[in-house]
Order: sequence, then C-alpha cells, then structure tokens
Amino acid sequence: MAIYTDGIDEAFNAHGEQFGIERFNRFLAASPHSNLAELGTRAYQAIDQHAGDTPQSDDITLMLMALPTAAAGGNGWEQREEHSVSLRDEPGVVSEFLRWLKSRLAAHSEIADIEAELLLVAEEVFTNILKYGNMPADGKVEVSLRVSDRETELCFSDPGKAFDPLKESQQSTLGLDSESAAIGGLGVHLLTALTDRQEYQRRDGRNILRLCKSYKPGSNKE
Amino acid sequence: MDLTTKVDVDEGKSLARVSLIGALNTDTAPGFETRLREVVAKGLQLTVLDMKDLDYISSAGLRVIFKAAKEVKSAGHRLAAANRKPHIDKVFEILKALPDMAVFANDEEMDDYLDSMQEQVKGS
Repeated sequence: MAIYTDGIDEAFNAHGEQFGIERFNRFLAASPHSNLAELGTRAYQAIDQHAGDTPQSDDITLMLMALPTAAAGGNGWEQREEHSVSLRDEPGVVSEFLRWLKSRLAAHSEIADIEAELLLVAEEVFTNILKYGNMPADGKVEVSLRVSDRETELCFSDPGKAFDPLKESQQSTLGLDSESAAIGGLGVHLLTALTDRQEYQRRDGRNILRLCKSYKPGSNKE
Repeated sequence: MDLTTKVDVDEGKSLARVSLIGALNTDTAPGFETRLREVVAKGLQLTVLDMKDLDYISSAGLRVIFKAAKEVKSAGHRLAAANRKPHIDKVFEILKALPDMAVFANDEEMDDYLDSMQEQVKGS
C-alpha cells in the first residue's frame, strides 16, 4: 500500500505534464516489492527524473507498507492451490500428478525459472509416499502449492504410516564411480539441494511435509 | 511428461546412439530401462545416451542409467552421455552422478572420441 501527498502525482515537468497517479501506479506495479526502502528511493528518483529542473511545487511524502493479501489468510501468500490425488499403484499416476502440478506452476510466470526444480522435488516426494507410505486403499495425498512474491511452498499431506523422508529415506554416497555407486537413495539429496527449507510433522495420523523454495522476482525467462 | 526412445545401431563401429525425447521420470523409467537393456545386451563398445531432446530427468531415470553404467563397465564397454541441456546437467552435478561416465557436449566431441577409439583399435 502506498500513501502519499499530492506533491508526487502533481509534480510537473518543463512541459507542464504531471507525474500523475496513473504513471505512479504503473511504476509501483512494475517494481519488485521485496525491499520497500529501495522501492521508495527508486520512486523519488523516478519523480526527480520526470520533473527535471522544474522546481518542486509541493511537499512530497511517501509511505509504503507491505500488506498480506486477503486470500492468503494473513500470511503474505498471494495464492494457494490445492489438489487431492488418489494413490493408486498403477502406471501413469505419477505423470498425472506431475501434469497437474506443471499446469499450476505454469500459471505463475514469475516462477518459471524454478519450475523444473519444483517438479523434480514433487516427483521425489510423491514417489516416496507411493513406495513407503503403506497407504490405505482409499488413501489420498493432499498437495498444496502457495506462491508469494519471493517464495513458493509445496506441502504434501498423506495418511500413510509415519515416515519422515528427510531422516528415514535411504541416502546414498554421492560421487562414486559406476562400479561403486549405489543405485538407490538419490531422491532425498535432490529434496535438500533443490529447496531452501524442509519441515516434517506428524499430525492427526498424517505425514505433513512442507518444502519452501525462494525465487528472484523479475528474473523469469521470456 | 512422456518419453520416446530412439535407437540407432552402427554394428561396424560397435556403437549405439540411444536418443531420449521428453521426460525420464518414475513412470517412463521402466520402459526406458527395457529398451536400454536390449541395447546393452548387444555388447557394443560404446552406447551413447543422446539427451539433446531430454527435458526432464528425475532420480528414477538416473537409477536406470546407473544400473546400465554398471553392467556396461563390468563388460569392459562404455556408456556415455551427449548433448545434455543445462538443467539436466544440473541434476547430474547435484547428485555428482557417475563422474567416470564420458560426457560429450555436442556431436563433434563425440565424433572425435569415436575417431580416437577407431585409431586405438587399428593400432592394437
């Protein structure tokens, strides 16, 4: 939220043009919001650039505040998407899940740079749940994806037996040659290398795994 | 998230090029493993996994490649990778996967390697 005096939108240049509310709104919308102090400095620079040598005609005061969005329940997350997947031990179930996730990730162009890594991580978790979860016949995995202006979060909730993939997954030694390399135990390395935070809880008979990965706003490929 | 596998065999050069097109993940890995085992069973000197059109590889896919690399090496032959995309490279790097596997950045590097192999055979 930006609260400001009219010295900003009514800053004139040598041609008598105001900086204007619309121009200021476009500037704010196009600028990264991760550092409000820097944003404020850039706003003043933009006004100075517009005004040039024209003397300031009114006081210029600007207050910028980061507010959580209503849809995020007060946590700063922009959007939350949820999906429920029935676990069936049959070919294609992993691809079906990944196709859903890929479509949801593609809806957020700002995270295009980390889309492939999120899919990798999601596949590892989902496959682990299938293999080790000892799921009931009608078991469902609940998956949620949340995106904020600097971070993504994938959360998996399953009703299988207690299993913390961060501790209990087989972990192989990396970097061994073809003869010595263990064939399994690679997945957990990908989980920890490709995400910034991992958190596991066992609650109400469910495994809950939360994975967070940050991204740089404005760095997505065209 | 499908995978197409194409195999080109040159018996004269004892070489197979296995091209992976699409995604090598938990679902597509079993089918790819079957095709790769058929190629490895031919006992060729060099099997090259051409990843020019491979968009995605998970640990499931790498496991298939690890297994094939072990079998090939124990038979005294070689398995190599070629034309890996940057994000595929990254997965190999993170997992420090198969540091002894030959990697060709492009077809020219592979051709140079094949030529040197041919020279070694002629010289022996």
